[in-house]
Amino acid sequence: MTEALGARGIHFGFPSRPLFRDFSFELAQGDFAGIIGPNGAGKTSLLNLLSGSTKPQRGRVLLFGEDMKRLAARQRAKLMAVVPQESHVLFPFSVLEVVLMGRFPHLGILGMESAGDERQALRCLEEVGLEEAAGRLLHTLSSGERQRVFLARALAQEPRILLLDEPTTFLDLKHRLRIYEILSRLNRSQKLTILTISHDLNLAARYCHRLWLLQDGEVLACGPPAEVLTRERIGQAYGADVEVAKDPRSGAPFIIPYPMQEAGGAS
Amino acid sequence: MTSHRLTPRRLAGTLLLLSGGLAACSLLALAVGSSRIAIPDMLRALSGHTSGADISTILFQVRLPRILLAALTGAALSCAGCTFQAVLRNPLADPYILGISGGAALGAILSSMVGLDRPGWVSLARPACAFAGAGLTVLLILALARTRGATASTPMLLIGWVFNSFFLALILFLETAVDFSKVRGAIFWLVGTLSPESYPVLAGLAVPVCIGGLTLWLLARDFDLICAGEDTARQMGCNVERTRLIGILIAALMTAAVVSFSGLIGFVGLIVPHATRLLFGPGHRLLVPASALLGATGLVLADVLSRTLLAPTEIPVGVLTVLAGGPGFVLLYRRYRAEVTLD
Repeated sequence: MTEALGARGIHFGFPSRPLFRDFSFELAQGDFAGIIGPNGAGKTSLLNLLSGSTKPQRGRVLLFGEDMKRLAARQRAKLMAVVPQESHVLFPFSVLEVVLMGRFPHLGILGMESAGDERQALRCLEEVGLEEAAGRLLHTLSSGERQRVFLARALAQEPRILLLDEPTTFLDLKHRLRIYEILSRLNRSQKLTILTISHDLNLAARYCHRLWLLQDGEVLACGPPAEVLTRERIGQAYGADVEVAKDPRSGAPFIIPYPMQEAGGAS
Repeated sequence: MTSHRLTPRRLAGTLLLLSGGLAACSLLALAVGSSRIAIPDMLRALSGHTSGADISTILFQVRLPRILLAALTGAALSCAGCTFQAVLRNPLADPYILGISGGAALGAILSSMVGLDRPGWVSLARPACAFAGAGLTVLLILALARTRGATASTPMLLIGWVFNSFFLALILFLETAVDFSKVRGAIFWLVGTLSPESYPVLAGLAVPVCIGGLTLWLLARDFDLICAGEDTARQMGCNVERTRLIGILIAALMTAAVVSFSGLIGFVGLIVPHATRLLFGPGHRLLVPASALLGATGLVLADVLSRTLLAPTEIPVGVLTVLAGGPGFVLLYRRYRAEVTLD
């Protein structure tokens, strides 16, 4: 296994509430992995540490074996892109202008995009099925379309690793599936390494090859979805009573939640 | 409004067009004034032919210096406005609202009161004190608005507004308490007026405005990225903290330079960037220079009105920027409001 992204013995948190203590993590090149866990488990904090948005108080984050601290912001942006959960773009930029922003780490000193950069941006829009929307203003798009524009912008960076912070929170069923289908295709066809936070356990179970189940800054379980998503573990992490069924078409685990029983229930 | 990428050709074409507009308005401003000068006489004087000492004195010693001051002031305030709106991610930001103009004016006034502002000194001491005032204001606002390591833009605007009001009150207080005839009238500082300055002074003003403007232009793509979100900008390779610090310092320097000569001209730094965005889109590589040219044009025109509307009485130019700019902006906004938002 070649490691794409890793953490070694990182400490992070507030003095009153330390979150990660001596935390380590390894993401293999070409993987499609998910981070799951209840609210407050540290999913977004972990993603921010791995993306370099926040610095660990101790320990190292490695990007293709290189210490993140030694990488310039532009170098890092060529290797790794992040799709935010939701973000407000100030002022009425067009869709193409927003996707072209992803070309920033590849620009020269004058900062003007070439015709080649524009073609690349349009290809990325095509990848997410929005080539028709290139000339529209971003804020006139639906939230599902906007999320795909942000995905296209991340792809325009031509990264080798893509990190996503729960990209489908505000999307309906169809658009959730659409995002995961796009990710799955990119993972297969371009060998793009993908790590995504997910609240939708069933989608994560179907699309991800590997899952990390986090609770209070610790890895409760890690492995293929069928091993991680058991009744006991989910009950322990989320404090919920669940049944684990089998998705009749893909064979992936399928989670059905129930309210916790008054007297003790599942934990 | 634009769907295609910004090509060098579109950038150059737009800027040439706006420069032509500025040149045309400057010619108009040369021709108009309390003493009428026929256009042929003016053109003859401009092309170097002698057409009477009076005419060339009026053109080159009275009107042209004032036009240049108006243009530099409009350009500097508009560039500063673009910068503050981008790096603070807030469409309400501008050097006036942030209290930076007020800090600069106070610095300039204090330098006059302690007698630094003497002939010979004037080209250096007053702008230097204005910059010190603006710089101290920026540092205070940044320090006060810094909570838990991050600088949030809403507290900055709020604190800036408090500073601005405080400085304005302090200027009025000083005017009442101290013999202001030594300095300049309160109207000069509070509303902003333009007066002919000598060419060496104008050159001294042009240097920080031009170098500052060019530096901000080089940061234009970083400004675009910050508009897309601070974390997002970082992930795309932008050094957000450095961009913000350089942007704020340069915008404060440019503001201080022009405030020490033309007082507190409000509104320009806020409205010109928005009007330019409505016309040419939000991308800063075009927005920064286009705002500078439109701001310069706007202030040259406002100065023409200030000299002619109630001639021979002169209306402070800062009154006209608001009286003419306000309705003009509302009309422009109404025309575009269906598609475009201001934030």
